[in-house]
Amino acid sequence: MKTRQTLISTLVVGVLASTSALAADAVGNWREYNADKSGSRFAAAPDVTAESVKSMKVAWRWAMPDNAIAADNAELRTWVNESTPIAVDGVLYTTTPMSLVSAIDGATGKTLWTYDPKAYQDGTPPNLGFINRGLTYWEEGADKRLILGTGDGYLIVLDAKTGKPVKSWGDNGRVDLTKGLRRPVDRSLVAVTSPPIVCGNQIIPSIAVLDSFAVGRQPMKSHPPGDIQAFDIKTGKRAWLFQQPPQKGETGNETWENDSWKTTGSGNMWARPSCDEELGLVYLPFSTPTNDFYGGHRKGDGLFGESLVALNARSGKIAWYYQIVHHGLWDYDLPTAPNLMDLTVNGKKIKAAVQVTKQGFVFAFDRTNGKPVWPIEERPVPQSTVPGEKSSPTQPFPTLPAPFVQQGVTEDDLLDLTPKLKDEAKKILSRYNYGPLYTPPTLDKAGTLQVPGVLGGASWVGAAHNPRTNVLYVPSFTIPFGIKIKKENTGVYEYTGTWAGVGGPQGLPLFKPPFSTVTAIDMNTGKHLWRIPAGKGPVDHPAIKDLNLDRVGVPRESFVALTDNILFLAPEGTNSVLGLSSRGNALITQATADEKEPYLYAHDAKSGELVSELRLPGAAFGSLMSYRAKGKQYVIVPIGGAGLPSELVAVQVN
Amino acid sequence: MINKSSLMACALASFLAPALAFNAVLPEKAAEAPSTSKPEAVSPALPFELTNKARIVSGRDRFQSTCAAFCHGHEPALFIGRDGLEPQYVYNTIRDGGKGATPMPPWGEVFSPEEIWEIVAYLKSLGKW
Repeated sequence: MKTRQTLISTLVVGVLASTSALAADAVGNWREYNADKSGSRFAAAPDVTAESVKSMKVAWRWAMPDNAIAADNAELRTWVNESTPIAVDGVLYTTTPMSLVSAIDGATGKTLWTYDPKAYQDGTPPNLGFINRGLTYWEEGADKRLILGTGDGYLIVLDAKTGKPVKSWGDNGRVDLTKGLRRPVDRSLVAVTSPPIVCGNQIIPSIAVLDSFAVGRQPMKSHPPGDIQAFDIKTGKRAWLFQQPPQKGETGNETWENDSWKTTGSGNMWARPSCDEELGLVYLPFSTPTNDFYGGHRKGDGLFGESLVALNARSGKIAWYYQIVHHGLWDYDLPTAPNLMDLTVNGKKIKAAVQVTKQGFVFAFDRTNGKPVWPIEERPVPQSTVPGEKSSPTQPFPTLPAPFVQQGVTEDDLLDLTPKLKDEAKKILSRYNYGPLYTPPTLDKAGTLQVPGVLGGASWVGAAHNPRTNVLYVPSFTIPFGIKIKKENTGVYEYTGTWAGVGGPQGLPLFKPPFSTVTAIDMNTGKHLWRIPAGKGPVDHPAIKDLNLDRVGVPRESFVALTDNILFLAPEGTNSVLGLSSRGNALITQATADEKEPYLYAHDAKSGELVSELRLPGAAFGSLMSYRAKGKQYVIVPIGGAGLPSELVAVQVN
Repeated sequence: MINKSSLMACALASFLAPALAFNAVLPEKAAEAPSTSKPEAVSPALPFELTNKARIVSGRDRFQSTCAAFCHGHEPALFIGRDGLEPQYVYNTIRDGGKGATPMPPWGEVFSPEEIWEIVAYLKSLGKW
C-alpha cells in the first residue's frame, strides 16, 4: 500500500508530466492566446477560490493606443475590442484592434513599449474591419520573439524585449501573406485576426477571407483561396503550402465537381489551430467555402470545407482529416481551435482532439489518427429546394457527447413565459421556413430560420478544459438567423444568401430560456455534468419581470477563463451596425455605451454555482485570460472599441 | 487612467458623430435604384400618420424581432438622432433590402406595406426627420 506521502508525490509527478506535455503553465504564465497550444484556456491557480473571488476588484485599466489614432479619423473606427493579451514572466503582450503591439508591466499596467506596423494605412480589413485577437510568443534561449498577424495581411516577427522587428526574419521582419499563392489576392479581402500558432519550428498563421454575404456583396468568381502557409520561425522562409481547396492530384480534389476547385474561394482557417508538439501535428479548423449559403456551383462534399485537418507541422502533409459538415450551406465554420485533451475512456488512454461547433456538437477524435472516440453516425437530413443546389443527403452526428444547445426548430421551442409572448412568437415563426438541424436555406418567405445561427452554438469564444479533471466547459447561445436565398440577375452566382438575426416578441429572444449557457462535460465519459445560464439576462424586461425569474442567460455569447476552482465568465456586450466601410468590405458598428450587464462572474468550477460577481467599467468584447505577477493573480477583460475607448481591464482575483 | 465621465463623454461624442465617414446601411444607390421585387409599388400612399403612437409601438416590436438582433441593435445608433431621411426612401430600403450594396435582406415578401410603414414610423420616432 502506498503511503500518503508517496501517493502525493505520485500525484505531483503525474500533474507535472501532464502539464509539460500539453497544458497549463505552472508559473503563472498565459503563454498562448488560448493559454496553451492545447486550447485549454486554463490557468493553474489553486489560490483563486470561492472565498478569494468575493473580494475581486479592478486593479488597473490600460487604454489602447488605437484610441488616439482613431480620434482624428472616423475611417479608423474599429470593431469592438477583441484583443486579448498573453503573459510571459509577468509581462503582458497585447495586440490592439488596429494591429499595434504593446508590452505592459503585468503588475502595474504601465506600458513598456509599443510597436505600430501602421497596418491601418491600407484601409479597413474585411468582414468586421479592425479587429486583432492577439499574438504569439516563441523563445529559444535568449532569443525571445513575438509573432503578429496584421489586418493588412502581413506576418511580422518582433524582438519581445524591444518591440522592434527582427530584421533577419523574412523581408526585414515581415512576410506578405498575399504573395506566392496560386492567384493574385486583393489585400482588401484578407486579414489575420486570430494569432498565428508556432508548431515545431513552423509559424502557421490563420487568415480571414471576405465572407461576401456578411457585407452583401457578390463573391468573385475567383475568390481568395483558403490556402495555409507555414514559415520557418528562425528565417521566415516559407516551409510549405497546403492548398484549400485541394488542387489536381491532391487528396480531396475529387470532392469538387465540375472543376469547381479551380475557382472556389474561402474555406479558409480564420480561427486559431491547436498543436501537439510531441506528435508534431497541427490541427486546423477550416470554414465554409464561397458562397456560404448556395453551393450549386461547387457540387460535392467540398473538402476541406468545415473540416478538422491534422497536418504534420514540419512537412505540411496530411496525417488525418474529418469533414464535420458536407457541402456546407449554413456558414457552420469550425469556429475555434480544438481542445487537445488526454482522456481515459473506459480505462483506455486516448490522446484526443475535441472540436466544439457552431451547430452545437462536440466531436471527439483520437488525435493521433482521427478515429472517433465515440461513434459518429451519418444521418439523413432535409434537402434543398433551391434550383441547381445539390445538398448532401447525410451529415455526421456524434452519438456522444449530447449536443449542448437547441438544434433546429419546432413550435414547442418558442418562448412561452406568458401566453401573449407565445402567441407573438408564433407569429414571428410563421414568417420563416423551419425544421430540424441542417434544414437548408430557402428562397421564399423570410428564408429558413437557422438554429443554431451562423454565429453558433459554440463560437470563436471556444471552450475551456481542465487538463487535470478532463472537464470541458462549453459556452453557447441560441440566436437564430434568417437565411434567405435570392436570385441574382447579374454577377457570378445564380443565387446568393442574405442574413438577418432574428429576435422574438417585444425585444426578447424567440426561444425558451436559457438564452445562453455554459455546459460542463466530463470528457472521460462524454456525459454532461451540469448546464447553467451564462449571465443574468433580460429578467427585468417588463413583459416577464413579474415572473421573478432567476438567471436566464444573456442572448449572446460569453467569454470564459478557467482556474482550478473557478470558472470566470463575462457576457459579451452589445453593438449595433451602422453601415459599411468606405471600401465596402466590412461592417461598421457602434458599441452600446450604457451596457445592461457589464459583469465578470465567478462560478464554482465543480458545481457551476455562481459565487461572486463584479461590475466592470464596460462589457467584455474579447476572450478572457489569467496570469500571475508579483504573487497576484489577475483576469484580463478586453472592453470597448467600436466608438468607445478600447481598454484592457485587469481584475485581481486572489 | 480613464474615469467614468470621460468614458461617457467619449461615448456620447461618438453617438453624436453621425456614421457618415462610411456608407450607412441606407445607401443612396439602394434608395434610387428601381425596385425589383414589387415594381408596381413605387409610391404607396401613407396608410396612416407616421406619428401614430400605436403604429410606432407596433413598428418597434417588428423592428426588434427582425432588424435588431445582431444587426441594427435594440438601441439602433444608426437611427437615434438621425437627420435627413425621407420616409419613402426608408420604406423602399426595408422592402427591397441592400440589393448588393449592403447585406440587408428584402422584407417586401414578408411584410405587408402597412407593416413596413409601421417600421418606418418607429425609425422616424427615433430621429429628427
